[in-house]
Amino acid sequence: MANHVLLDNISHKELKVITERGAKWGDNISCTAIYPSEFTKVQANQPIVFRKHPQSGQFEALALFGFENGENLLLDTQGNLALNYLPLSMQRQPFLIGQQTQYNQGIPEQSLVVHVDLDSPRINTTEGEAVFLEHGGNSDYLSHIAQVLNTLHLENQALPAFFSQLLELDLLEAFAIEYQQKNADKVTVGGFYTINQQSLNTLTSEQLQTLQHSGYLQAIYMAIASLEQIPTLLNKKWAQQ
Amino acid sequence: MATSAINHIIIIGGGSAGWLSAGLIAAQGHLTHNAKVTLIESPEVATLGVGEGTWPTMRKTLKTIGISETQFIRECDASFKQGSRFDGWCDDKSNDDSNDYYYHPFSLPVAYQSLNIAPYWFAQQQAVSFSHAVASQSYFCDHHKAPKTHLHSDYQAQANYGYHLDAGKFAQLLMRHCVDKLNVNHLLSHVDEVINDEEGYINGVKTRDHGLITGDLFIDCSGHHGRLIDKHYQVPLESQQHILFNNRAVAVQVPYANSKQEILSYTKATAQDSGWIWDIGLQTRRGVGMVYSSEYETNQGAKDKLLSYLKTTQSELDVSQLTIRELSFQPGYRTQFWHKNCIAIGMSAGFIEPLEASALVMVELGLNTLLANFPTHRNAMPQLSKRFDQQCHYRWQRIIEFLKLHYVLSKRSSDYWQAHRDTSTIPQTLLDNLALWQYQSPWLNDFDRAQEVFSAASYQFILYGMKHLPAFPKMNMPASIIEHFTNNQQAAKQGLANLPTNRQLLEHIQKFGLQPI
Repeated sequence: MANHVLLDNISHKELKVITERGAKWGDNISCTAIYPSEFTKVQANQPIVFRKHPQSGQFEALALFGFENGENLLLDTQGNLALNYLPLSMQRQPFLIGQQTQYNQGIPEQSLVVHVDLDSPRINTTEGEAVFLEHGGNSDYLSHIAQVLNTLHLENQALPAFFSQLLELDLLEAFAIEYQQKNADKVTVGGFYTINQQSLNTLTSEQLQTLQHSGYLQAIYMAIASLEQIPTLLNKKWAQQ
Repeated sequence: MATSAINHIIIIGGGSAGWLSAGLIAAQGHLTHNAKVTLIESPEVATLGVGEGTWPTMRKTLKTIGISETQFIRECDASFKQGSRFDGWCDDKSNDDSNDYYYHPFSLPVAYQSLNIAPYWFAQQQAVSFSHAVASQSYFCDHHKAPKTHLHSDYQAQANYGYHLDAGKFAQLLMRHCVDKLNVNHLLSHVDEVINDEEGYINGVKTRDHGLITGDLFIDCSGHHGRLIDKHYQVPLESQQHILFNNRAVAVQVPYANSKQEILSYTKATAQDSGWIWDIGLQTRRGVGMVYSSEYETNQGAKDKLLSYLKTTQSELDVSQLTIRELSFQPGYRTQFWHKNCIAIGMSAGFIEPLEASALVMVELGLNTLLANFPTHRNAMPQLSKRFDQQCHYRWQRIIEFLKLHYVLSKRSSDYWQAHRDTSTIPQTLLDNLALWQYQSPWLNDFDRAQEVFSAASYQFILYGMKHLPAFPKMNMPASIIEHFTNNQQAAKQGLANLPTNRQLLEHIQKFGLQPI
């Protein structure tokens, strides 16, 4: 269970965060949310797929690590995770962005604040990166986290525009990943979406230009290229069976 | 001599029939050689606003017109409808007997595409109702479930569904879409005069504010006024009151008790001694009304029955705050639906009581038939209009027989119900079929048109819901048949686990919307 509280330099003065990656730190996950600006880095290592967020039903992009709940095929035999690129949604852990209403001369103003999940296994007072300096100032680590959270906030705000552009141009299509287990059972993992290449190839030059200007065109091609990572991931699954 | 090509289609009337016509025609310009579409609406319109039901066909209609389901749900106070439920239709004790109800769900019986499962149900009829045994949707209705989840896309279904909607808001949405997106020309003006050419075809209509508007094809969507089909051409209305007696209604809008009250995902039709009461759940309110026959019920009597019904559904309801509207109608349909270059669509073509919600689907069917047989030239109209008339007549007759079926199987004892069972009030085709169905179950051969309004499945749901079982030899049940029944129970279990309630899904759509794919 998560236990989110507002971070402050008095109650959390001693707080340290383990930044190592691995199963025991909660990285036994089959996917993580990513954003179009990250696609170039992600596609070199993992498949990028889209799906509807289980709660909101809104489209999101994922880097895929496995095919079943809790399956991370990129963990090594010791359960450690070494990614060439760590997506922002993982870098931020165990911090999250929160909103706070502050009153400036009686006028409510929304401001962004940093929350921390105190139930995260990364949290302790002896090991890892210090969050605050001795006299209460932000550590470099915390400054980095603040930057990550800020970027995530902006990316989250920009994401609906990305997907509505894809939908408008009929560039999304549903697909499923099928594989055969060693015991010969066929498994279908559905609910995924990817770029509809046929539609992409019939776009007008004006439409392509719009996509280029918005920066989406590169993300689109990166998402397509990343599908080549699916067989690689499936091979890992075979090897583990 | 007027031009003979069909270049300009003029629709008279701005209700849901008029705007559905405009939308379906304008969105399918390839079927009309891109004829221009103009809708003329009299500013003195009164909408009923009692809440209406659609069939699942409306999903395809909206998709064709180009409106997203999210927008439709948000702007028309719409909710999901998975069928009709009939309470107290079997016999007199029924009103106090919570077990006397049955469904006519939108889903077909399990395995319908490959075999008739009904005969295999007869042996287990004591254990499970027909609709529950063969349609998992019945369980969803029992639990006020939505027919899909928030992860389904626009118009995609887990269980077949149509809608309940606010007809006034629906017409508004269609109007905006038709004008903004589909280039429909919208004129707000009263039609003062209809001008014929020398062949008796309509040349144009004289409007109060825009002068003479000429056209090649005229669609009369002016409702019970019948501005063209009735007032101009005087095509008579063939009364059906000798079969379906109901000709009056009292209707009321009822607020929900609170924001947690379940939204029914079916139209609930509760039998009364002199008619029946509809109960339709929209997102923000219910539309409830009693439809009855003036021969068997007074206006005040109907209002009393309506209010006492409302009390049983919401005991704390302050009925003094409600405004009851009164409606009267002549049940019947035109002897001709397409005369010269004028086609009647909607209530101008005919109207009967809303049992089984046939009003909007008849608009859709009429338009689809017209568009599939669209005249490219006036010379083709005599043949096409004959075909159109035959189709429409057939449909009206089937609808009337099917509605009548709901009454003739009842054991209720009041004069009204007894009169319904008098064989002189029952169409011969229905009498013949009823005789046949004493020995066998309705099946595909009983209805031979490619596009039937009501399929054999619908007849099964009513017959067996009303506990009207044939004398049938006992069938042994092969394992493959048992599997169909088991699959249905499994689908029910799965749906009850994964489906949100009607209210939950509607709230989600208001907040997040559904995705187009």
